[in-house]
Amino acid sequence: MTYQFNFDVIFRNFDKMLDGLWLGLWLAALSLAIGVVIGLLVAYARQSRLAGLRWAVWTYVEFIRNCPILLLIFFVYFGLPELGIFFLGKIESFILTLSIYAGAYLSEVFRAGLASMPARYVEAAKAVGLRPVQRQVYVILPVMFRITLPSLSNNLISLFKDTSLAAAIAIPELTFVTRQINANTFRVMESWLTASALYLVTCYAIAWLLRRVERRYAVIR
Amino acid sequence: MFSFEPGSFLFEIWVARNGLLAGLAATARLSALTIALGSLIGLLGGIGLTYGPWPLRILLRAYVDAVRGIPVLVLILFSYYGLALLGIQISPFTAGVVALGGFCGAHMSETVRGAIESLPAGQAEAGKAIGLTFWQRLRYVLLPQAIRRLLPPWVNTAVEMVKGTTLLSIIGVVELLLATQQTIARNYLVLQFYFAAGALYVLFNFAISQLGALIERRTAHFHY
Amino acid sequence: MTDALPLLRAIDVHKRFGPTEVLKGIDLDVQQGEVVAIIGASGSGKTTFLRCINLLEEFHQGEIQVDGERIGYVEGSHRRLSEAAVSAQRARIGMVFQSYNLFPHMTAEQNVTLGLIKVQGRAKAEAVEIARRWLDRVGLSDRRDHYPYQLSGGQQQRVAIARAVAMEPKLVLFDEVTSALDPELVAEVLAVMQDLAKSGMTMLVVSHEMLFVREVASRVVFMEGGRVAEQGPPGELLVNPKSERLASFLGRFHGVFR
Repeated sequence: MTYQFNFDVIFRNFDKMLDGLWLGLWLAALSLAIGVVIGLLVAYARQSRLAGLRWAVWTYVEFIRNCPILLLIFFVYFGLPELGIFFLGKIESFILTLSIYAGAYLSEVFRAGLASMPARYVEAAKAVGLRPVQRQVYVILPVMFRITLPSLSNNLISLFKDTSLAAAIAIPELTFVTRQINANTFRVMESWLTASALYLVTCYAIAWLLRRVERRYAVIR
Repeated sequence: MFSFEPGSFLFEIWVARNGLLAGLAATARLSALTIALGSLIGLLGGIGLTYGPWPLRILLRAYVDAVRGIPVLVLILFSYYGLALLGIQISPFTAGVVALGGFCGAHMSETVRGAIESLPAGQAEAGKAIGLTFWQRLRYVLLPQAIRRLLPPWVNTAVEMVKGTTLLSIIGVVELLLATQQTIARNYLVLQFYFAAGALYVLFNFAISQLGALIERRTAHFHY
Repeated sequence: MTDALPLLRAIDVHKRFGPTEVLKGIDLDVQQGEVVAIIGASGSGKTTFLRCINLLEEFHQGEIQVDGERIGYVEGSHRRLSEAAVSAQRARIGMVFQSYNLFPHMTAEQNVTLGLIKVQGRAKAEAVEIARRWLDRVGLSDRRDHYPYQLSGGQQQRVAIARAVAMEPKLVLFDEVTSALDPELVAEVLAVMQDLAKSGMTMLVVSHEMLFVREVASRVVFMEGGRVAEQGPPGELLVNPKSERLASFLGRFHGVFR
């Protein structure tokens, strides 16, 4: 094993790697944002009186959770044009897929959060005279977000790691950039070590930041 | 839709059946091997994290935290190309099993550790009081109880592994996803085949989850 | 009997939990066949001392000998014995816990046979026979195939006692074994303990059950602040306490000593 480490190549391409990392973060953040909206809608739909609606969203959640995300990515990117949907570029298509994926998982998080809502907050909101929509906006949702903050943090970190799959459709995030560097320079060990380190550090940074947020907004039970 | 002429979905499935079945078999084998390897690593790792001397615990902790902070795809690519560079010639299949197994093992180690530590301290003490040695306590008292607590997370991890096998398509392992893509390349029935493959995965994973839930319900009466 | 070598001998045992010293020099001798009750307020160190005897707790200074053998540490030094050696020593000492600690994944009978088969190496048939005898003795022969969750607290504790004594230990330790029980279930457990005492078992009992202590114990040890403050026969100690602290401790148990 006479491999000689040479990180020069990495340093020369480091800015590209960082660009890829940054892109991944953006993809994750956007997907999380859209996923939260989807997740909330689905979570409320699960409580609906319409059995058909409940069943439909249950199917959506179960299907997405049990389906490999890579397959979903390909299905959306290659399959939707067949249905006539042509305007989605690579990145839009990936964000759509990841949002749908996140939405399914987040809907479960929100469902649990709503179910574990202490009754006294709802009762207090009613007693004060807030109307149903107001209750949701001013009391239930804020409390639920604080309750579910730890799960949301985990989901964001998972989502960020899942952005590496964008490489499968040639989106220039960190993993794809690393493969390109390898193709040009063959410095496989150095590049993957650097990429891994970048992901690790970023995940830890996100976790640290979110822990601080959690501490600030801890649920008062 | 249910015609059987050339160019229709049913016809094409029939034509491609061997390739798809081979892919399905590969997925099954990959899943089984990965889950087995991961469970073994997880069992030993979990015991090590709970009871090991501190150098071992630090090592295991580093392993678990590193694997959890790096995307699976990166782990797979790193393993495959890195090992090839070091002169170790292994097939993509084996590299995939190693990478996914290592990933699974890290998660399982945490799960096992959590399960053992959640047991009441009195159980280990009662085991000590009747003179059982460390390994006897693990085998007859602690692990049997921990296994029940392990079941839900283990089933989740198993499902994640089945889904994870699709990532091996990127390093050229012909599992179900890649087989499906190869079929699509020939007949261009993109939506139908991707959907069919997706349905297969969903059905299979759903069945595993339901089986796990069933076992859990059946053993719930033990109250431990 | 009093001149024979004591079955249990504790010499100047000290134990710390972090910066706090919990046992400040315990000296105690227990002869074979004695039933010694240890009483005292919570925090006096009585449970900690009990747990040092079968090395569930480590101690930093002093010696504990059971039947002449030094428990837990190598003769002449304070190095810990190997795990196998400690396990073998524990097998000769029985312990019954406050929260029973039965193995929930095993039936009552299996709880008792586990030690017999895996520690003492007996054949299964022999172990089952011994287990049934003991379960019968504690009044649970019809429950031997029940799991702990199907048993009441008192029944579980009686199984725990059977589990401890079936291995024929030299000494049995009882750690507040009735404190977690509903009052109506206490009597059945105390009855079993009284039966064991009468048959000559050497018992070291930490308890708050003063009536039981007065009836069954051959000696009472009062612990306070990590030390043995007073000891003597129950008839004397409980009725005429010599120290102020023991008197005030006993005063809490109204009506027991009139």
